[in-house]
Amino acid sequence: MKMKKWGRLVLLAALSFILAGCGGEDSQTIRIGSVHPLTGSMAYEGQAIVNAQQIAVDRVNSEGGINGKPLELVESDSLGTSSGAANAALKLTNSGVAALTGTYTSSSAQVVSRTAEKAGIPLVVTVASSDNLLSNGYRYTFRIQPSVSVFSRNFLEYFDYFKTDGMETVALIYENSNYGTGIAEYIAEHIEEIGLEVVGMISYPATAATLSAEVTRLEAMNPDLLVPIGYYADQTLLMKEILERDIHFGRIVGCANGAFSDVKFLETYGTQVDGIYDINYRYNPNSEETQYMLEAYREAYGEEIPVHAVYGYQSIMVLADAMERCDDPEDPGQLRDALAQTELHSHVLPQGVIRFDETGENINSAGVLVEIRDGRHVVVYPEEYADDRNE
Amino acid sequence: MNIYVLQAFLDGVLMGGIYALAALGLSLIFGVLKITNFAHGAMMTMGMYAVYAISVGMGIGPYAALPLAMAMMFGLGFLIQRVLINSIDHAPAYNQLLLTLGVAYILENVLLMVFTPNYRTLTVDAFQKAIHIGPLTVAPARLIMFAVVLAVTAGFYMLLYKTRVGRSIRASAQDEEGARLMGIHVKRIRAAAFGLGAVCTGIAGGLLTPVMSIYPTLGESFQLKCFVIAVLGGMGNLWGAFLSGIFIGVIESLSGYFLGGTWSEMLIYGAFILILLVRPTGIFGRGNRRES
Amino acid sequence: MIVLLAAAVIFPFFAGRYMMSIGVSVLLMAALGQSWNIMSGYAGQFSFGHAAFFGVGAYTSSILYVDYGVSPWIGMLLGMGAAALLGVLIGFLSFRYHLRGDFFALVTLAFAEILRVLFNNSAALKGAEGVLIPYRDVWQEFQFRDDRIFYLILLLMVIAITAFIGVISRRKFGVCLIAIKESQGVAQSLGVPVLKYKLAAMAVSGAAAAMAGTFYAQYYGFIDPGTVFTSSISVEAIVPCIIGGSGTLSGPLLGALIIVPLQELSNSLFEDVHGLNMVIYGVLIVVFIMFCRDGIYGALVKRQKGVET
Repeated sequence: MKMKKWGRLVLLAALSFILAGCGGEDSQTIRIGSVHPLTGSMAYEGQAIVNAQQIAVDRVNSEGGINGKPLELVESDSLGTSSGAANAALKLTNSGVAALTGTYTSSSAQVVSRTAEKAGIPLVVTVASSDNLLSNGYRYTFRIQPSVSVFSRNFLEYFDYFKTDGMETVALIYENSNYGTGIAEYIAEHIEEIGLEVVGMISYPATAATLSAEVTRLEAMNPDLLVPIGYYADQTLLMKEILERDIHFGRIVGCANGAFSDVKFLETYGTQVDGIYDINYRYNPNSEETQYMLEAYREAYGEEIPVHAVYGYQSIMVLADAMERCDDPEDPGQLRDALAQTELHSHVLPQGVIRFDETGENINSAGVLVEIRDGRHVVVYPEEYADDRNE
Repeated sequence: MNIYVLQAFLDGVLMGGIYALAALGLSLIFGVLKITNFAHGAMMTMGMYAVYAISVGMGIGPYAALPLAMAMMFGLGFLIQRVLINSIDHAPAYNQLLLTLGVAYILENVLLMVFTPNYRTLTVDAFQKAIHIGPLTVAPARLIMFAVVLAVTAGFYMLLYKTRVGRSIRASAQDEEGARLMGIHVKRIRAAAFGLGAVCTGIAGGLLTPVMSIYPTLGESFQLKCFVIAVLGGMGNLWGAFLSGIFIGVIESLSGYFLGGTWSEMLIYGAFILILLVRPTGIFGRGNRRES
Repeated sequence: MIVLLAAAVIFPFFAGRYMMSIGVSVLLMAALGQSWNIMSGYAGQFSFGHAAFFGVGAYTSSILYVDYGVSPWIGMLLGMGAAALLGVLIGFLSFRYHLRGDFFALVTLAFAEILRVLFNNSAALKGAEGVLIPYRDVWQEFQFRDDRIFYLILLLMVIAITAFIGVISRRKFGVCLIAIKESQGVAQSLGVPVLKYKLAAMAVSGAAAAMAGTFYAQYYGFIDPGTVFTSSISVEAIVPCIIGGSGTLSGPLLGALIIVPLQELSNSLFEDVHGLNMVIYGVLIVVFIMFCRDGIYGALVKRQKGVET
């Protein structure tokens, strides 16, 4: 008797579930899955990427889709957790997507790339910076964004363009997850080779409610160069406390800083943050496609595209390019091979041709050096990616 | 003493005021209702968004928005207690705890739906630039923050100790059955206590709005710290909660100065375990202690 | 029961990858729930930090595997041992100081948080970068390309934990645990070695959570402090028990079987309104707690009793 009831309950749960899983198999479109955090503490970042992806999908469709077949973006909330991301990826796979994109955090990216590998579906990583993401030899994972070590190397390479006379000491303040720690440790390890002395390394949790003590400590260290690395909320907090107290450092140069390259940061602080540099994601302002992307994003969402979301836009374009080169763009094996042979010259990123090495890493990926001048972002280096506002 | 250490001390005291106020609410709720409220962080975020929305919507400053935000928080807390928690009055502790966790999910995600996950910032330019007090610097916004904390806390004591409602709340905290016999409408009083707790934490959140960029899950990071403070002060001991809030603010700031924020987090949790084990009634004398 | 078991066993041979992934989520929650059930449901020691045991299990086997080439099967046993020790340590400290109820819950929560910070900031423990498990297909190394095998292994784990609870709950050990939960004083006066039994419950509970932790690492292939020591893991251990009925053998299983698909359903149905899925999850928790005080199992039993009498 008891068992029967259970059985019914279970059956009901299972049934409702199967029904949900089956919906929406639609062969009229080519579906691309998008796994990003849409709730939880990274929802803003995830949502911006999805928004940019939608812009790209619309663009492809307005030009006739892939061989006449329109693209469709199917998004699924990763909930910001590993198991959530895996479930979301498999749900999308199950509903017949031709490829996956994702995932914003490195831990989710690790899990989704394994899932994609097992399922034999290509994954184009939008944003996830961990160095070891591609170290497992997965054949189906491709990444377009610069990794932790690329950003850190860029920082050292661009040094001549932000150094000041007599710059001798450097202090780093960074959030303590994989991304902040990874970049800070790499820079600290190599910056002495260019003759700077590391006088301080301060790490903090990204959820910190206050950084005033850390700022005071930095004031006491008085470094010639301050390198802050962190996400939007904590880095705006850091700058607020520096500005409030009117403390001046020789130079502040962020590395992949979640706030410095964001337009909202400028809206908040205006010209008070002039003179800050950042090595970060960016777009190539001289590409026509970029102008389209900026305009379309502004129009659709009423704000400037956050720079990390540019990689969301590009992920769709990379996939569309590969699909164009397939006989059957919905065949995952063909699509994977086409992705591996990508040779994309016209794109929105501040780098040379997009091409993947055998691990799936975008060989030419790079960040650019941006300076905040008159309350605006100005690309300082490489010069070919400078905006026309430089004059 | 090194001037920088002094500066860190001062900043710790000022931030500690916010912790104190938030923990005061938690401690009150625990004292009266014997509930470990896991929706406390989310309620703090509600306070932040209430101030933000009123301030932007009505075009007034964040401080002027506080009274209305307080009223909203009271209503929210009152309702949560009256409608949800009261109905599972004598359920096991973990049922109540999980219930508040469910409430936290709801609050956070309603905020996400209404305000989108975007970061929101309120700047009050006039109060941002630091003033100098001898060798120390401090932003007026933080001084105002602390002054409001003191005023609210004082008002709170007046309410609890000088009014009938306050006496009823304290009576129900000490002996629910006795309070009932004395003709106190315990259910309503309990809801009022939860409402007051929500007001405290809501103001703490609201005061942070001009100082931080807010987003729907921001309050989570205050949750555990509030527990630490409330336990340190003795759960239900309001005076203790206030003092230990300041104390934790100072500890956080000094350890942040010497070791960085990563290790101050560690230190605070370590101290938490130690206090729970050695003196779970708190370091400031008697507090309520819940038996199983 | 046998029908249900048979259904669970043949499930992967009919379900697609997605269904199976949900199946794994259900089982993982069931395993965590049963582990919590031993310590909190039966013995009445309310844990809010099961992530500590889960994480210790995941990290022990993964670091031994990646750095020292120890098979995760052996690593799993060692991890279970380590988690059992941690359980005894937390228990000994807490019980020595007579912590109970919410305060005990807060201690366990603090332990989980401290471990998270510690692992996140110690290079020797791989720090924030986490541990990446190599992608292989070697059964000796607990690695399979075929997710069905993973599913069946986890099913076996859940059955083992459940059977273990089923057996002990009929023996002296289980009876004493329940006696302790009902009234520690009475149990003591009846000559039950209270401390010893409570510690044993914590050790077993910790070991079970650690087993689930190793599975998690091997199945998802990547762990970092933020994923295995997070409080959402601790919550995942509590939810199925309370929804299903804590302190009952089948409560956590029922709870997991109902809450995971419901959550997944709301994720799918409300994909377009971000946040609504989590609101519904919160509402589900609230509703279950308000209207099913003793969990679904309790409600079923009550109804049955009503029918019989």
